[in-house]
Amino acid sequence: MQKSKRRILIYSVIAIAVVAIVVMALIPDPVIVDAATVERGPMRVTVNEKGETRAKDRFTVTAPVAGELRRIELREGMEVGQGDVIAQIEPLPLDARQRQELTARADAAASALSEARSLADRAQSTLALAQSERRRIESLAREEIASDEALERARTSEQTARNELEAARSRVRTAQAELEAARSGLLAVEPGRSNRIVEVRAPVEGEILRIPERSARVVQAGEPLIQLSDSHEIEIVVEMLSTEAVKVSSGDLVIIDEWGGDEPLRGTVRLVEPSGFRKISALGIEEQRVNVVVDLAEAPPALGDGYRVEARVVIWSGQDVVHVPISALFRKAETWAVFVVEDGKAVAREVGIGHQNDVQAEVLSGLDPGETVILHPSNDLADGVRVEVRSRG
Amino acid sequence: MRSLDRKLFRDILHLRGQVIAVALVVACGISMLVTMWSAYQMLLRSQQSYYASHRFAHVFAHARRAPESVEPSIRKIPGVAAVRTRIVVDVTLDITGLDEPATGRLLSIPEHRRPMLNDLLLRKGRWIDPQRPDDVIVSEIFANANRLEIGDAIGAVINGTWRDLRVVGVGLSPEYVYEIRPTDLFPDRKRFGVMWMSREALAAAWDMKGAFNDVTLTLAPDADVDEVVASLDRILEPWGGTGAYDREEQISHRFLSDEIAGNRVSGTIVPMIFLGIAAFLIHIVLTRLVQTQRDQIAILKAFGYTNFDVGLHFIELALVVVAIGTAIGLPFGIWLAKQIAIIYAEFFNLPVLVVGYDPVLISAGIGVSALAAILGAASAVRKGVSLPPAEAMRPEAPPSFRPGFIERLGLFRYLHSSGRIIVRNLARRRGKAFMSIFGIALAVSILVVGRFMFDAIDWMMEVQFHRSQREDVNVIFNLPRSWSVVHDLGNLPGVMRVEPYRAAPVRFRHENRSRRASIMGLPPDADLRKLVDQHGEVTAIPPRGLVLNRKLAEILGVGPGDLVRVEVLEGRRPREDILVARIVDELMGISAYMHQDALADLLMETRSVSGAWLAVDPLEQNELSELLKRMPAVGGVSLRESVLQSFQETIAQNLWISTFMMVFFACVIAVGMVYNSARIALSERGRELASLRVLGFTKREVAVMLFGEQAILTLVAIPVGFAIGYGLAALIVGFYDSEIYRIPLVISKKTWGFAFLVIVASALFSGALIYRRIRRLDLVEVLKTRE
Repeated sequence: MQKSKRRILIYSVIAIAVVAIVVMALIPDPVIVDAATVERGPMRVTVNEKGETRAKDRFTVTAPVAGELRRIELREGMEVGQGDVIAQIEPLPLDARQRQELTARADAAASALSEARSLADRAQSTLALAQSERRRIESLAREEIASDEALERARTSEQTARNELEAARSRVRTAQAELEAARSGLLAVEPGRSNRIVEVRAPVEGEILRIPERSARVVQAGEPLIQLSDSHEIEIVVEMLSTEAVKVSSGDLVIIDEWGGDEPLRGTVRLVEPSGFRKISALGIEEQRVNVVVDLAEAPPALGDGYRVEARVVIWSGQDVVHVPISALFRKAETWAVFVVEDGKAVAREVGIGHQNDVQAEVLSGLDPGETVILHPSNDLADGVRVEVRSRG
Repeated sequence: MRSLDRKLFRDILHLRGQVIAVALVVACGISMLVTMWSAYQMLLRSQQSYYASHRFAHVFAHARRAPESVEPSIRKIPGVAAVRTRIVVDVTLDITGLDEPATGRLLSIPEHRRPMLNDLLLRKGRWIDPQRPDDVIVSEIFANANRLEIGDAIGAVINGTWRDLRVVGVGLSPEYVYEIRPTDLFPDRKRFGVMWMSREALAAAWDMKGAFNDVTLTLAPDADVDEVVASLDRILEPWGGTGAYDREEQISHRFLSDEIAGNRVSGTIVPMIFLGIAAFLIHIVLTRLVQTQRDQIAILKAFGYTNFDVGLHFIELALVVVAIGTAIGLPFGIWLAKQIAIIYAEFFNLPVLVVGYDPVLISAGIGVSALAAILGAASAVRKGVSLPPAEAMRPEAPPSFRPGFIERLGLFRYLHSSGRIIVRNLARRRGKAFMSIFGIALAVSILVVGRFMFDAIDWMMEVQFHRSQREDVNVIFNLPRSWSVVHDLGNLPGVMRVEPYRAAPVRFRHENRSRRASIMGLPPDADLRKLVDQHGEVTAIPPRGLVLNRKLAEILGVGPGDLVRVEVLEGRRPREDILVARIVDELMGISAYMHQDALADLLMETRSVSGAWLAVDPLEQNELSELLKRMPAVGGVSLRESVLQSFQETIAQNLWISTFMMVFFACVIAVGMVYNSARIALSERGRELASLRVLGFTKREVAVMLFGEQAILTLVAIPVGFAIGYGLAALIVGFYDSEIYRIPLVISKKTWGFAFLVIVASALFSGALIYRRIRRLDLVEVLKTRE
């Protein structure tokens, strides 16, 4: 009795061992996965595009009359004072038609100037209005009658008005310069004048950006001679797809990368131009683009006119957002889903996704901060499959 | 001798179970050898015969645009036998039924058919019509993959204008046995295909009248290939030559040769191991089989047969076993070899199949088996005949009766009487126990060797397609583009992430070695494509210097810290010595990587983009594909899923066929071995067991004694077999080392479990068969034999 009991014991131990080995061999190894944690924190969505710097308030000085241009002795980067002679043209004799044209140009410049002035006046009053509105809402907000949102709106419209005034004033200056140039051209060709040299003067004090051609030559009226800028400030122009530009509004934060320095620069959108244009993209497709003008918070002196940068316009940002890496997302029919690691197993879970950038996605529902999700889920994964998270580093 | 012959016949009938089991092992060894080796040989000869009959060129070169007047000077290079100049261009195709754009490589052919280098084998349809410039002959592989028929139209963007090409024929060329886009690791049969078109039509479309951009040469038998390549380079350099190369670097030949070389391992090394193991098993089994006939040897001698006669008799027995094995194995092997060669030829797109068997090889296989059997029988007979007949007729005297090691330890107290007998038996016949263990261990080991290849394939796919390549779509531009395409791609529907790369064709030189390859410029923060070594570990891309994969480093003979000469083959063609910063042990391809900024510096350009990896929302995949088709800048698109599928259809399937064969043969050998081992134990012990029965032991107790012994032997043999199997796998892995892929030494739990299960199952099966015999054991008969 004793013996057979012991024998049964031995046999059952062996049998259990064999079965255990077989079962262990047949249970699939856990799938090794990369994983990340769902986090709560700041997140932003940006529109990325390449941009170019340009000098703010750029003046293009053109030839007021057709004639023989003397060699320009100035060089790029030199400073000129307002009214300095920057070019000299010996006008060609004019026929009646050309004279008429010149007069017409002067008239056009004069009317452009008056229009620019009235625009500037209007911008001035809009700004004044926006300022008082902002002050009113600020005081209401202090008493908590107005919402933060309303205050934010008021501030934005004040900023927009200020930007518009700035732009209008700049236009006035440009128109003034145009008019002066046209008048001096007209004077120079006045019959009976002894000194037949037209002196082209700098419309503003500033730095010379570009001289397309310095040699003496024959120029036509209206041909650009010199580009100059009255300030050292630069702005950035980003040519954005019209479908992307509609998401951008003035006042949006812009991060400038790849400009050559180590640290990204910061800026704000000043203006989304109201009119777009057609362009062929690098992919070879025709598309509509819009210029978005960005002011830099602080421009490093090394950054000149016409330099290439990468601009990222922040079109949405949140301080307290639950987000997952987009590489964790996969489509389950129409909805997004992720694999969550629960007790060493992959569990498929549908999630609601809000804003998305190229790294993270905002989680609206289905996930809590601190949960672990599987990155780049492979075909081996299914609901309930055992997984092992690979340690990184 | 007539009576001995009759005895032989009776013995065989009597021992039929064992004879069949050993014969099966022999059959497996021989048919494995014949099948795998012959299939490999047929493949090799078919390749050579196809190359020869269709004049596959020896040297290839591409240029931007060279005038025809250059051709005579190429012809005059010493050693050149024949020259063919042509126009080769890649175009974007719109294939009906294919969502993504495909890339077509258009090759010019003469308007009237005549023999030429890289000749076309027209499978269906007709030659192009000189009057119709839109006639094309499509490669069979591409046509089959896309179900193209004669008369179908294919939309193509030819030099910027849309044209409908008409399929008039389906053909094959030795130059494109494998059609691989230069940037891909594997062929994608659906999205890259070769087409042949009239030279005049191509010349007109690409402004190549009186010019060519591609040339192929055959060489005289004694020509110096390197010299010809160098001369050709000199001639084509002013015309934008991108470097001449020989067959070794021709992508289709390389791929086919490497794939066939992959079969060399399963066709030579593996059958050798199998045959060796089979021979060894035959040797063991026959030694023991003859030993159990010890009393008969004595009786025969007593009747006056000479030692020679007796020896011959048992050798005849051994040879009969081998003959039966050969009779099963050889025809089976020959039949199977042809079947497999047919599958392979179809699989490798070889239109020619040279069927042939190597008689030397077959004889060698049979010879090795026979020799193992004869040696086994002879050694046992020699032992038998050396004893005087009277002594030999008695059962073998137990060698010693001192308490053994285990008894002295006092462990016997815990054992039952049958247990004690088992332990004593094993301890006292250590030699035999050792041989049994070794035999079963070998059976276990070939199971491991056979099965582990599946693990290796799984691991390769895991590393390549899950850890390294994680993009959904790879967009390849026809020319390097400016960095702003990154934003343009990001604005396309469904695109969630864009990772651009730059690939530049270069020639690496180090000392006397050189290799054409391309350098991939990678972004440092890439998430969609990672550098992963064979253990699945990620390697970071250093800011300066080159990262080469191990295979390329071996070809060039360089290591970390060495300088390698890089000659860029496009743009300004800079040449520079660059430091090898790191070696990464990748499983596939030959590749070189650099930080994108370091590569831009080398190329003397600002960052530009050759292609980009995209993460795409599957819901918008179709919309995206439609857009990509119409984009002039896009030269091709490949989807990770379809590359994975293509890998499974090519490399994985090829490995799978040979692996399946191995596992099948391994199973048969393992079962035969375990059965024989148990069966012989029964014969050896017949007398003892009968005596025990007479002493009052029950049938069950007797059976437990025999099975207990076998169980212990088997259980000890399994871990030993695992160790041997691991060693053999490591040996084989060393041979699978081609430019296309390397096999990693990965053995999964599944394989261990599989080997364990097969052995345990065959042990149980053998046990059941033997238990039947024990039950029928005729006590009187067994005990009376020696009287």
